[in-house]
Amino acid sequence: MSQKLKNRLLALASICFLCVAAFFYFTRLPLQKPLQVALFSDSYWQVQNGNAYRLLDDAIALAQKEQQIQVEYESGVLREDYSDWLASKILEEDVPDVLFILPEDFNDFASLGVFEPLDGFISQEPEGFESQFYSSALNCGRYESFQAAMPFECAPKLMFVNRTILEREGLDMPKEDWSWQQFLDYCQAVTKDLDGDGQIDQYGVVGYEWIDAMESNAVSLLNDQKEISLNKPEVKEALLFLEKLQSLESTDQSKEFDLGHVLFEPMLFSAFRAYQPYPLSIKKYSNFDWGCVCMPKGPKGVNVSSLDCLLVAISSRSMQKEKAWQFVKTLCANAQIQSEIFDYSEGVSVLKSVTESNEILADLMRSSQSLGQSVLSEALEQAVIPPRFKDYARVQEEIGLAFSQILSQSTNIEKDLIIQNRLLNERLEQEYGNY
Amino acid sequence: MNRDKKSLSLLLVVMRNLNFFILFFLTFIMANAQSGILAEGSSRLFLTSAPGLPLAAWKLPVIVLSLFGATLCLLIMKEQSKTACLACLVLELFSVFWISYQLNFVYSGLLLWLLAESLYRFARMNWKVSTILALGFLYLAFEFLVQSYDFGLIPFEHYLSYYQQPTRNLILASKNLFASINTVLFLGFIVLILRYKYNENDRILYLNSELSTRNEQLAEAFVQMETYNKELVSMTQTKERNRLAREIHDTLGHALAGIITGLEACIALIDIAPSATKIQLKSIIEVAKQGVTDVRRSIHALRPDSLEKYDLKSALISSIQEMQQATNAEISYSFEADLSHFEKDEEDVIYRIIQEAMTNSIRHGKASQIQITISQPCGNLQIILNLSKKIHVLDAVSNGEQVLASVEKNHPDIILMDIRMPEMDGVVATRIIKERYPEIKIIILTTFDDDEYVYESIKYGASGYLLKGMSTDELVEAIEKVYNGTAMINEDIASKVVRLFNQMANQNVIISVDEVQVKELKPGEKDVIALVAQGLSNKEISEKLFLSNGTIRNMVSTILGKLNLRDSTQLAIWAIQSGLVKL
Repeated sequence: MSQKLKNRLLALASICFLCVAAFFYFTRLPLQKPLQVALFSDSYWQVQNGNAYRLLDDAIALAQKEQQIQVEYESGVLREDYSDWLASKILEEDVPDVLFILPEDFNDFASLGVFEPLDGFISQEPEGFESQFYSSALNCGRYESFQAAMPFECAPKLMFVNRTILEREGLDMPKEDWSWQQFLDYCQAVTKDLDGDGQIDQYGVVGYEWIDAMESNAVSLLNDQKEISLNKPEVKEALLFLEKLQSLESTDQSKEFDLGHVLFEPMLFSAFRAYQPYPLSIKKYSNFDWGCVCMPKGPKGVNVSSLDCLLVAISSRSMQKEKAWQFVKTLCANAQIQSEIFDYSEGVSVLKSVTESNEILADLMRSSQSLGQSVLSEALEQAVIPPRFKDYARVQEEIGLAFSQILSQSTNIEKDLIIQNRLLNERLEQEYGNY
Repeated sequence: MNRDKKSLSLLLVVMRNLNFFILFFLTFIMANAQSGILAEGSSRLFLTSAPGLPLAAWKLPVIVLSLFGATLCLLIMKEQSKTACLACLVLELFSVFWISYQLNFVYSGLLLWLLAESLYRFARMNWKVSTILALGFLYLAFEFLVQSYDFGLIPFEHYLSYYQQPTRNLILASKNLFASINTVLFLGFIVLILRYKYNENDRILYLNSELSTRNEQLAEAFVQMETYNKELVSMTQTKERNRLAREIHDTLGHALAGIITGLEACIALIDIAPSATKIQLKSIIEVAKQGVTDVRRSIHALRPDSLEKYDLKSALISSIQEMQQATNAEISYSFEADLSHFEKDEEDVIYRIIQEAMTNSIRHGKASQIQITISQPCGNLQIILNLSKKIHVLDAVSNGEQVLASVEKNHPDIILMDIRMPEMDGVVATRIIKERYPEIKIIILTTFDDDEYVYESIKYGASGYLLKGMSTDELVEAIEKVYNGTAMINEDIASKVVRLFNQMANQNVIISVDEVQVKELKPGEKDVIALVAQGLSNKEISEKLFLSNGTIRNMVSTILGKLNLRDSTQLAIWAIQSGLVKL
């Protein structure tokens, strides 16, 4: 056949090949199917409440009714397997459209580009969409410069107080703006040997971590160049404070508080809600009265605590992003669904309007008078979010190690800080390059 | 040079196959690793240190190999136009870049292969230094991009972590080996293509020198051609002049002859039948008019008018009828051949022949009756004009052998024989015909009056010898006379013959013999003399007469004694001269 015909056929063939390649590269089959959601089966707050998919099912029903969106999910994935399961889905290119995210996965997945940036969707929403959320909750879902996920449910960390001990010792509930010094005073006052057997059996605090100290002293562990900068007076203050606290701290964690031997324990609000004397809840802390306050503030900080947040994101490879966004809104911005959190889950709604509604607060306060509206709101508003970048968990670990080393062996904290700072930076530079 | 080209294309084929294999190998390794990781549940770990999101495992080979297919198709196309080539190159670069991107640039040899293909393609067309530079620059830019820009793709080594140690090293080693082979092939390609170009340059130089030599020759030939041209021009002019003369002769002569004859007839008629004369004059006018038309047409080298209007047969018939009317001659015709299949120039010739023949017959031959026969007995066309009612022309042939054949077939009474003919001349033909058909009379009608021809023809029995140039009437008269038994010899020829005969007769009669002795010869002796006169030897005579050699010898001696002759030779001469023996 003539050369011209041959050329035409070859051109056609090459175009076909290119189209095939492009097709497989850009699309995922099948194209139209119900919205897929990824969720784990047990509670985020690690409380067995039997309401595994209740919230999700309600949201699905609502979405179907109001927006005619079909939603499906794969059930039975345990929280402990969820990360691996999601990773497999990513590898198979079969990622569900809407994903619930565990905090330990957030940084990694966000840096991989698993999540679709939501800024575009948010900007198309009417005025006031963003402000209906607690800003700290919203910030939980931010990664580097874009909004990677929406907050669904959160729980601030509060200082839980054993009111029975307080009363016994004749102390008042700490104020909302109590300081470290006051905290130390309290601990000092109660840490004693009650039964005179030579061993201390009443402690001031258990489970107070270096990160709590840092957070409440407004320490940012990384500077603008994303290098570790520990050589700051705030850090030194915090370390000194921690040093002092060491002797007042119980080494045997939560059990002691459960048994009523410890005055203070920083805990997530969800735990508080889980162990409220509700008819269907497990009454864990039943042999003593307890309440909660904000965390104590350092000399340079405020009464803040960290926020634990369950996030929801949209897959960047989803073929139905618009629909996915509608469903995400149903989950996170719909007052009805959000208020169900208080019925079926232990966390707190991320919507201000829901959490601060009178009914909810009335319910909460029923169990504990010390939980003022302001406490919760304050905690939520001022919650601090750790830096979000890829290897942050690892970095945090390294820093923690460094601190514990300093705390255990140090004679000159300042000098050691400088040394450790440099060492850490070097090591992390080696391992991660420019993280 | 062809060998170089063959090796180049062979090398390219090898490179194509190698690269396809490499791509297949790499994508297979990666896809296999990814599926393996998925199966063993270590996806999360894999993703932890991954820089970007992977494609589904099976998609990688599909996409990469499809792109390879696209590139290959584009390369196989042998586009000629520059824009098409450029478009192809751009698409190929794009595909190659995409493939490398998918593989996170683990294998950069793909670009080398593309470079080789492009060089080959440009070698087929014309190399421009700028193109090569551009390609080289492109390659460098590619490498630079790859090394310094982070595309956020999962590196090949990351996939390798799936494999156990010996396998991992093996894979790496293989990859490096293949990449090295590709590089070596590329180098080989460069060497070959340089050599090819070098040879090509040599060839071009050689061709250049050839070209200049040929150019010189061409210049000379051109000069010569100009000379020939000039000659041709003058020849053409001459030819044209001749043609014109001929045409004028044909047309004007024909017309004028017709007019003259017609007018002569009118002169005769005018007193007797004025009205008939008028009619005659009118037809003469027609002839004149026709003549004018024909002259005009001749000038324009056009065909005769009638031939343009009618077919040959009708044209001939109309010409004949015109002639008849104008001259009052009786012209009858019979066309036995098919006249419809001749070419235009052949028709012209036939037409002119007939016209000319008629004109000549009437003007020069003073014929009053013309019989025209056109036949095609053996392929050649015969046109015979018969001017006498009493004579019927049977055939006309062109050489001696045909004469014999025709005589066999037609049995004519008289043959008008030409002397100079191919195959067999007239003299020999005369002899043979006279031998076989002695009753046929032969008239030699020729232009040659050589003594030899005359003598020979008469010797062999020609009944007449006429020279061409006589009038038709004279010819008819001669034919009639010969038919009736008289010999016809042209006057000049006759004198020649008499002279010849005188010569013969007056040759020195050396041999004289007494008459008395001759009478005393016995019959047997006369036989012997006859044989001697024929030139036979004694032995031959003895055989012929069934006598012994000795007897013959005795007899000859006796004869010689009686006639008083010296020897057999004298005897023979005397015998012939005296007419004793008729040869």
